[in-house]
Amino acid sequence: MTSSIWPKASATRVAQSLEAHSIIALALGGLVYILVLTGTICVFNHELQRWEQPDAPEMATIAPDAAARAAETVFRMEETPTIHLYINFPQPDLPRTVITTDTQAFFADSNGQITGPETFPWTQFLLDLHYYLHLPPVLGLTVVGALGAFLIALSFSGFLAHPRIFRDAFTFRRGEGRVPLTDLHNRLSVWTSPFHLSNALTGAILGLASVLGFAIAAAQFDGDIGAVFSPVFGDDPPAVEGDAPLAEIAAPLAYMRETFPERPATYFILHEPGTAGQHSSVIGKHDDRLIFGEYYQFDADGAYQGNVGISDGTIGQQIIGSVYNVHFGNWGGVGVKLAYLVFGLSLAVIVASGLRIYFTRRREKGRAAPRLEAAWEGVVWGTPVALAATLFAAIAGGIEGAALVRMFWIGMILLTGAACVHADASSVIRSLKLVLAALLFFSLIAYAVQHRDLLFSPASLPVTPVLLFASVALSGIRFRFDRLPLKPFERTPAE
Amino acid sequence: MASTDLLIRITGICVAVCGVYALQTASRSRSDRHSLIVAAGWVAITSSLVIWAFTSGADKGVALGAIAVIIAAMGALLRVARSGPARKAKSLPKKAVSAPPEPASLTFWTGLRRIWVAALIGPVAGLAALAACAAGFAALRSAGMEHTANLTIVSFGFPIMWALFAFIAGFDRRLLRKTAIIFGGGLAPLSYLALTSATGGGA
Repeated sequence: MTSSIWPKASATRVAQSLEAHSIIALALGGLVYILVLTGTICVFNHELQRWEQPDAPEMATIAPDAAARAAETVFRMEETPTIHLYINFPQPDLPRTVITTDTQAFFADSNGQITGPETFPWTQFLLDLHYYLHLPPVLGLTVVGALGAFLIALSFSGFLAHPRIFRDAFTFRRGEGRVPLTDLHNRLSVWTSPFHLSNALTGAILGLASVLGFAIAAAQFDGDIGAVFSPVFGDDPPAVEGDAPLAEIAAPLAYMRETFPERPATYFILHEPGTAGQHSSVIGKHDDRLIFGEYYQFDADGAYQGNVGISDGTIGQQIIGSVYNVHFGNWGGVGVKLAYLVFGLSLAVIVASGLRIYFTRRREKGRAAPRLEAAWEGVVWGTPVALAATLFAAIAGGIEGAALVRMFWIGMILLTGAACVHADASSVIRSLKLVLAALLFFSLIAYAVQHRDLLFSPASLPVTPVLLFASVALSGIRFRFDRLPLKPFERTPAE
Repeated sequence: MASTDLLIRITGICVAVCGVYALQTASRSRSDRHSLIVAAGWVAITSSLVIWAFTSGADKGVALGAIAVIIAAMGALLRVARSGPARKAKSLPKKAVSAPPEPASLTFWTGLRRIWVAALIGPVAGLAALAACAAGFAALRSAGMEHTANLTIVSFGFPIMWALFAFIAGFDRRLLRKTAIIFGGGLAPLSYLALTSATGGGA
């Protein structure tokens, strides 16, 4: 038997790394868990938007003239002039055309007729929870970005605290107790580390970009934050005062179809519409890349001005242009989304099991903390319960906006507090699972009542069966196929 | 074209599975060929990423390949977990065994120390990392680095530095030393920025 090729880990280094790991996890584990769980669900935010409004008109593509007609209609409806006018084009996971201004959003059908407002209150609540933790935008982004940095620190300290990382790479003892829990935590952490490190890093980059931009602008560009980001995302042309007829919309879209047919438009953006300084961009999708797209620039007459360089510019532009897609998992269709679901749930299990290991070790050392342990389970299972409660409130009660936010956070405080008072982690888990199953089931009932004609439409599938499956699985109902009655021609041994 | 793409992907998956299998075999045995098997496993995994790079753009292909490797590894873990017996938990008391209470004065200083460590991990480490990255941007800009490359480096560097400072704040047991490291990590770049701003350099 040969000795290991890897150097022996210092016991002091391992112990201190574990201490650092524990300190950060104990202080921030709850918020990290909420971020991980909501992020995993947000991968499917397009599917959830469709599910919330299943009656919106759907189409695979929309003609440039029809899209232009819809945009012009919405522009004329605006009471206060909007600074931006967007066309969101149909995409495989969200086959709808939406015209958006700074304050409103409307669906358009394939003929360019406006059919009604776009509204998805629960999905928007979920996105705002993940992006900002419902804090004011810049503060919220910074806090969420910081949590991404702490997740990187947890990964780093976890690796250093793992002395037998290579020898134990495939050790996985299942069952109950600290050893199987530690195996689950360590093995999942190591093998899904490319995912959770890249997601923590890209999430932190996105969240901390504002703060970093302000700092660099203050230090180097006399506070001009545009100078920091315009080399990446393109310059705005100089401002020109005065009104003008609305810029060409159909012409740039037709140009894109003719000249770049392999780059389907995902967004059209008209900056300062109806003014002398208006200009437009079309974001063309690059299916073979991780970048979110390329900006193709047009003037007010619809003449092509060139692209910004996200796809073929500097390496820095291409890397920064990839950060968004890498984080949100919308770069490879359903397969990649399902992989992100598995990896995201794995990260949630890693976070949950980490603190469970801590509480189990405390019990083994005679320092049990049953209230804290139960409170942690209150967070782990209370978060999906609170999300399901807001889902039910949004569907059955039409509740939206700030009311959903209050409901979630007050619910989290009450659930965690109740779990702490109850002080029995096992019964907290059992109870919250049942409550979650019930809330999902009643949400589906409410949804079925409201949208009975569209229950099996492409917009409602696959969210409906997934929620139904989750509800049944969490309820603990087991289907015993071995107890089904015998077929008529089978005889029992006595016959 | 589509069938070639599918063939390349299947090849990439097979090579990734072989690489994971080799690492699993190496982890179970400590034979004379242990190092060779480990090396072969990692070569296979790296090769699978290279193969995947041909299925799409290099960036997207490699990312798809990484997903394939992770799924192969998780599959191997699942197989290992299912093949072994389930362990039963040790029965442990759920309530705390009585322990001597900490002296009141020690609790106060411990509490104060913990608050300071939390501040070091959070806002202090964050501000130090921000200062370091802003100064890093200024220094690289003075050295003539292209703007978007510079911005990319500091965009990635900021959260990594914050993570590193947060780790130091939790890792190092000496309060004064870790405070000095993190404060120094922030004040030194701030001094550089102030100096270059005063002398008119870096603009």
